[in-house]
Amino acid sequence: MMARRWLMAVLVACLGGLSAPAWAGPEKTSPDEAAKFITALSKETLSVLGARDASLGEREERVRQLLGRSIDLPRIGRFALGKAWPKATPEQRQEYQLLFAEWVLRTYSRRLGGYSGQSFKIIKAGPLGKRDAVVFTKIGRPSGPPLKAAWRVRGSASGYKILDVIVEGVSMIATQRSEFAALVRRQGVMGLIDSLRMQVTKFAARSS
Amino acid sequence: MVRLLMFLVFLLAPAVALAALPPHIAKRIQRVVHDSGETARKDAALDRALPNTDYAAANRLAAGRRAASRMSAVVIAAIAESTALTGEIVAAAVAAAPALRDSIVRDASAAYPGFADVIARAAGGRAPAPPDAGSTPAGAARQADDAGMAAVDAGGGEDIDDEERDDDPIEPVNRAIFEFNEWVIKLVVRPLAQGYRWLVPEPARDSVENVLHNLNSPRILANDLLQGELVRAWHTTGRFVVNSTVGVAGIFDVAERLELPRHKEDFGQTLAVWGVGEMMYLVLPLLGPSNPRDGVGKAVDGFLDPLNLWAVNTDREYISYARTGVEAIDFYEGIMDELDDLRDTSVDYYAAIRSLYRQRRTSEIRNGEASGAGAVPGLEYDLDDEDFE
Repeated sequence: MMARRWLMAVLVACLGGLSAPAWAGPEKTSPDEAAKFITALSKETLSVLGARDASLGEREERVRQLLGRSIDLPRIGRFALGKAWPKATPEQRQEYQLLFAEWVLRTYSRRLGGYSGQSFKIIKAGPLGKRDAVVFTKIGRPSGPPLKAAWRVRGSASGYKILDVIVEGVSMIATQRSEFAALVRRQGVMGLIDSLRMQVTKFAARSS
Repeated sequence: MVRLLMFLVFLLAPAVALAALPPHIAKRIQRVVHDSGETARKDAALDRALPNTDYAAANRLAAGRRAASRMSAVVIAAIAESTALTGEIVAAAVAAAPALRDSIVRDASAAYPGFADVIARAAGGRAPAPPDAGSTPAGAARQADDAGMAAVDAGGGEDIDDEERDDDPIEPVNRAIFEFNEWVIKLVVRPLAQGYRWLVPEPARDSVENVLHNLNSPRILANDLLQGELVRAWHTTGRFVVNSTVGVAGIFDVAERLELPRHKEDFGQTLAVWGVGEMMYLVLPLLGPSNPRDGVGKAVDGFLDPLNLWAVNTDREYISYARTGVEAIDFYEGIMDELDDLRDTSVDYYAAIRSLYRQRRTSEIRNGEASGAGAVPGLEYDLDDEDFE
């Protein structure tokens, strides 16, 4: 009787995270490497944007490819759906993730596609949370003061990926999560999926 | 005298309760309390560092849940080890972490249904609801989840945890006013801003902005001082003196080149620094996103502004109105493209603006723009995998 109780206690303690073993700790992302990653990415992006011989559509397409492989879209998508994620069916999740990725890529490649000749300066980099790094940058604009942007980066076996961009104190993923939560509360997950599909279709119609 | 005694008992209760236990159990309970204190400190640092309320709040809630589950695990393990001390263990845990009382009682009585009475009595106060069919915490959680699913199936909208709720109790009203404002923007403000942009070349628009900002200097200075920001107050004073003279009534921002950077400050921010929370989200007719605190701030700012006071006192209100109008057009012209883009790409424009407004406001209150490197210095927030669940 006592032994069984003990076993249960140990089990419960382990499940409760009492004895989080050190060896299970996630590997940290090196801030220096993250800064290098962001620098390389910005150079590539600026060279694509600066290619004046390419049409706006072509530039957008290339930026899109760059972003697609540099942003951790599945992870961000899950975060953005928040508490609704566990409640969504597998089919809903799959469709949502596809539409979310498309939505983010279209939105940001369009936002970036129009810009040109911007300067991009790394200010500093540091650790963030348990395993990420944050890279602080200043982005010059044709008019007005430079933008301050911070990039949250996570390194893994498959390379470095962007998790969040915080522009002038506004976090992209926090905004998306808040926006999605408002929509899900009013119209459910299907309502959100429909809205995303509508946005994506709108973009597609415009660019064709 | 009796009161003093009661106070002493209250003060000593946790220590006494812990002393009644085997030392290693007491130590484990204390460790949980200590660790959650650490987390709370980190969260406070995060609140200061991260200009982002939604995020920080979600983080804090997750930390609270972690502390609760750890404490429950410690209590359940300790009862398994020394069953005779069940009452003492629960009493000690509740005394050490009164905030976790309900979760301790719930989880402990779910693990040991036979001891539910003892546990409830030791925890003090009302007896807990009898452990329902799910006799383990996991079972209870599953049940709660099922209930959630049922709610989803029943209605169109979904039942989301408290942490997902934005502080927007009058959302329907806000949305209606928001719609009205959008309509005014579309019919009046936007055409004016477009005309202004078309008519006035960019350098001249910059000058207009400089003049408006310079006029606001006395108000900004007053708020700098009220917040005890002496360096910023000095910057504001220097800017006002230099730009009003060398800068020809503020047309040229000479001070910027003299390492006197511009910043904004208002009485809403001062109230926030003094500890007034935003209370709730509020969309004001014509004025847009706000909250009760910033609404009051706006009114007080009118009294901190010499030009405004002079205009009102000498029956020249039209000066104030004209200035406000020009300010509104200038402001909207500056963010018009970004807003158009956001309106075009967002799935819920109202919610996107609400989140943006709050994050920006928090950043301004923490003077995030003052640091040279960027708006997010030394972050301490964790984005665990569980935050992505």
